[in-house]
Amino acid sequence: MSASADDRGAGTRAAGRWLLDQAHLARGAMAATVGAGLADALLVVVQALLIAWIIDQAVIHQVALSELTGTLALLAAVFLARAGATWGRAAAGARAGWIITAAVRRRLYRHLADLGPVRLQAHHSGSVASALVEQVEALEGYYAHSLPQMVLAVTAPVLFIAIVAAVDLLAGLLLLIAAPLVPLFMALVGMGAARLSRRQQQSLARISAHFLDRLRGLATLRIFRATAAAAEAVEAAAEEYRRRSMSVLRVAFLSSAALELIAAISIALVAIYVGFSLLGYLHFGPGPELGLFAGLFILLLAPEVFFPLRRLAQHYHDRAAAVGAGAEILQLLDEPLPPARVSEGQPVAPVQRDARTDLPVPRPAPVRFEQVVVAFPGTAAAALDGFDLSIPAGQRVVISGPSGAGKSTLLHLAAGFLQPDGGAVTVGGVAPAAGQAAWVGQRPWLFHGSVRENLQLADPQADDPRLWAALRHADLDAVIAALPQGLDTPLGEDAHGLSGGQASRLALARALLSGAPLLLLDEPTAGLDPDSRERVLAAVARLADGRRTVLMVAHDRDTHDWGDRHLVIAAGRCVEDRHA
Amino acid sequence: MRELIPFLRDLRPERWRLALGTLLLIATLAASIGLMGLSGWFITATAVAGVTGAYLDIYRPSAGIRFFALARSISRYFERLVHHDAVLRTLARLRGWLFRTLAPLPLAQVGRLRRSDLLNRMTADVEALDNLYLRIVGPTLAAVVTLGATVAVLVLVAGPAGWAVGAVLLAGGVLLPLWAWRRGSPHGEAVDRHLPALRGAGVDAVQGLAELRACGAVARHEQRLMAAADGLAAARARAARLTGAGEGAVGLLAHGALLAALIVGIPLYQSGAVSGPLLALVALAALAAGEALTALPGAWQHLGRTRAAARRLLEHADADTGAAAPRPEGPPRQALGLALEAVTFRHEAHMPPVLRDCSLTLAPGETVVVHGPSGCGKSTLLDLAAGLARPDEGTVTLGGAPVAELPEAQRFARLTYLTQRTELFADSVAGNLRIADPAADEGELWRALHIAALDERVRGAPRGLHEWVGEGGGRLSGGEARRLALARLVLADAPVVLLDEPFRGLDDDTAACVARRLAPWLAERTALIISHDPDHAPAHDRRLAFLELNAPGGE
Repeated sequence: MSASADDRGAGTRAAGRWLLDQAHLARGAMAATVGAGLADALLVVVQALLIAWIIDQAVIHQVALSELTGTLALLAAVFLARAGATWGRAAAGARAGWIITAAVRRRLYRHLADLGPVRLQAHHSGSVASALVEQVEALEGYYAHSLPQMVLAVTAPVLFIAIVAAVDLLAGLLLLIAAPLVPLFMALVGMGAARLSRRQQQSLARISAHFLDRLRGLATLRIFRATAAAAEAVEAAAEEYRRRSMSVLRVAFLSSAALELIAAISIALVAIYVGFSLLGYLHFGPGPELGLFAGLFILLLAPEVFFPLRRLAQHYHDRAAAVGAGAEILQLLDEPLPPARVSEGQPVAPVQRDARTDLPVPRPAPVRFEQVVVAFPGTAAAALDGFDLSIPAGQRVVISGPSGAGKSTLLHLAAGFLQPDGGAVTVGGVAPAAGQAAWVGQRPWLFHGSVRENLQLADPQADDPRLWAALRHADLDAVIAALPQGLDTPLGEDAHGLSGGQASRLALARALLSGAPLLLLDEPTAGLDPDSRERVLAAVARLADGRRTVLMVAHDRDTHDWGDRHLVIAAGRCVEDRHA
Repeated sequence: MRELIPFLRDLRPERWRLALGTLLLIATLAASIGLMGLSGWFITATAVAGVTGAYLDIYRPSAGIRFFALARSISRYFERLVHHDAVLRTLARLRGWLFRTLAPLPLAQVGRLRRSDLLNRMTADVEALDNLYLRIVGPTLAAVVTLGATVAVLVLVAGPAGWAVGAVLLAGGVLLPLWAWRRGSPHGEAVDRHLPALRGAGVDAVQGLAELRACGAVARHEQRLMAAADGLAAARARAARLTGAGEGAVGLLAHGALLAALIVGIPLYQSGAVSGPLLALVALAALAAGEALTALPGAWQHLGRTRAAARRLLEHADADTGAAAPRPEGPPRQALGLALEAVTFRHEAHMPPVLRDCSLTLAPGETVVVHGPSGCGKSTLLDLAAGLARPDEGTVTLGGAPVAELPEAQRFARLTYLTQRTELFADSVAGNLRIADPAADEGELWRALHIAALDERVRGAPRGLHEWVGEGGGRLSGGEARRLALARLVLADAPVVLLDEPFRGLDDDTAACVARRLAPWLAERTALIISHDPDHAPAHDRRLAFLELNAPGGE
């Protein structure tokens, strides 16, 4: 077996163990789910008993219906109780799934937040987001259906076989012949179902992906007059997957057919055995003493032995999906956290406000890098090795240098996204903390929500006049005012009607609303045309205004004359330090 | 239900396969009922015979029991196979249908589809419809036939006891699915509503983590994320409880049928109208008949969602711009001019115009570069020239003919357009190129790659032209993807060319190389190029500042 297959096997086993551990998060609900299932199993026994007894009394002992009303009423009560147990099981299972997915999602979110944006860069952002949303959702079915059923698939058949054996040893033995086969067939069904569901999911996912890919590119297909051909290709791809998955299904369905066959044959054999015994054809074992009551009772219980197994096979894909999802979640949770977590207190206490604009007027903070060492795992050379830099309060510093020189690392350190492996970074004399540094990245993220919600991220209490003041300073008020719903215009992925420069200015407005004494900008003008660049830089200047220390990483030559000081970083060292 | 009719009609080509599947499903159910009923009869008959000592033919009933046992397993196996095959076939057809439906939509609408979550939604909707037959139509049909036949047999052998069973099963079998459908619809809608909110919050958490950390908003966003998750989980839990209630109700129904059989059957037996074994047969068959209904409430619960999916899909099924027409042969080879005359354009009626009284004329064979700041509407100029946007005032002509009046297939035979966005497909290099010209041989592909300065890179790749470019061209760098899109454009070989920032993402040396190689190709064509940096644009005859094109009085 190849190493990667071993790894995958180990990963699957680890994910399976982890999934089982999480069941403790909802002990009560899980116990209620299994309990309802067990109660139903017990009711099945009572029900079989009552039905057999009623028929036996009526047929063999000629008891009149009027004398059986009590028993019939009891039977009706059992039926109602079973319906209740079925409902209770679904409700408790859903509850367990809810509790556990919520807890796992919360834990994963906190872990990701603690890892910070820099460490997350090692992962594909789409797959991390999908872990937080879709993969956590995929766990639900495991706790709601598959795990409780795994317990019931072992306990309920044992209970039924034991009871049948107590009534008639030979019939019990007959069912027990199937019992050693049961684990075998469970494994068979399991493997078959796992393979089946994996292949099915894969091929479905591939068809969907191909389809979605061509739909996304519809404009391009139109321009190249290729839509008719693409429509045929979409159908052909789906047809090809059909042929492939059918050849898999033909084999995979066999394993569950085998389970069905064993169940059906066992029931048939029990029925024939009981019949022959009742006729007195069998002169061995307990058969001769068997009456109609016991015979019918056994017959009614025989299919129930196999029913939990059938149900387990139906829910097997829940487990397969959960194991796959669990492996991805575990991979993120296993990523070690940085040594010290940035405490997330309130933003630096009482902020002074400008009387006219109501915007915060922070006292600029000095920034110091002392003998800072940062090593990135997997790379031989340290990104920073004994780096020293002192930035006085209120200074506006532009940092440039070739890519990979460590410019962004400096910003990440000052923001507290990254902790130094050696030395110290201080902002205003203390370690970087939330609320101390405002962040404007290269492509500022606009959150799903309105313009207002995006701005209030930095200042939840901000009222409309304050928001408009911030927008005015960021040179964005006219743009927002022209939007159909103004501050309530929804933004999101592919920001509605905002260009790259406008998105940067929105991030600057956000920075203005925070009382942070330090402003960190990672190439805010990259990819902008000269006019947009000027507007952004002017907004940054208004933002700084002696109230904030500014550290800006910039590539463009035009930006380098901006600010009070220009640093050039190469290979983790400061090779040029020029004051304006 | 009208919205489902076109999709049910869509199942017509599979009708024999689906009919066979349903027949096998009926056989499976009938065998289950037969197995339990006959076993009950057999045991009771043997017990009676054991007591009275009467003769009983045991061989035919026990052979019947074995037959039903085998038949059930075998027909179940083939039923699953046939149904899955039919559904996978329908899946292929439905996707083709949706693609053909969306293909001719106005392109502005297509752009909106791509940006929103709508496409994901549509693929999910198609999948919801795949289940229409497998989960709803087939099992319902099978239940009706099986229960009908079972009740008929029971009435035949046991008269009123059969009627009693039939009455319970019929009443429950009709009411239960309808009840599940009515109750289930709001839950499905709630799930549909909450899922995008959760997805948005999840993407925000990952992509906006730097902002969240810097703003000290990690805890606040956690509340938002968990509130969205709780909304979804609550809707799911409600749906699950409903499913559980449906399952419980089906059980109750089967048990009710059994009870009815006993209450009506016992006096019949004791009056001698029905034999003891038949009484057991009716009772156990009634119990087993419940299996035919097991899946129905759960399936009908989702009918509301399926209908909503069908409605959403049909909304897009009206427009026709003739875009899906087969590729016309022989694009016109002669040089064409391009002219915008006094064009005014607004994105929205209430917004200030992006273009105001703008005029621009390109002589046949001329190459013009328009430059200007980003976000000022340069790309709109190309959209108008390509006929993808309609001017509010003024006209756009291509070779003297109004662009708006040219059918799309003819228009794009005359002009080709490198859009601002690089749009590549999850396919090989060759597959992406052949979108522009399905008939191109390898020599032509290499020539196009050479012009885009991508030939060496492709030659160096392990699988050459067959190298996979990944989803959206994700395995290529931004510059490589841009060059592949350029090579594709070259292959399209139209007399008029529109280029929007053709060298975006290319370093200066590569851009210069591509510009050099592109020059002779462009020289034979009319080209309108947009660039924020005209000094690094391909060779051109004329350059214009975008803002000067507009009449004064803009933003």
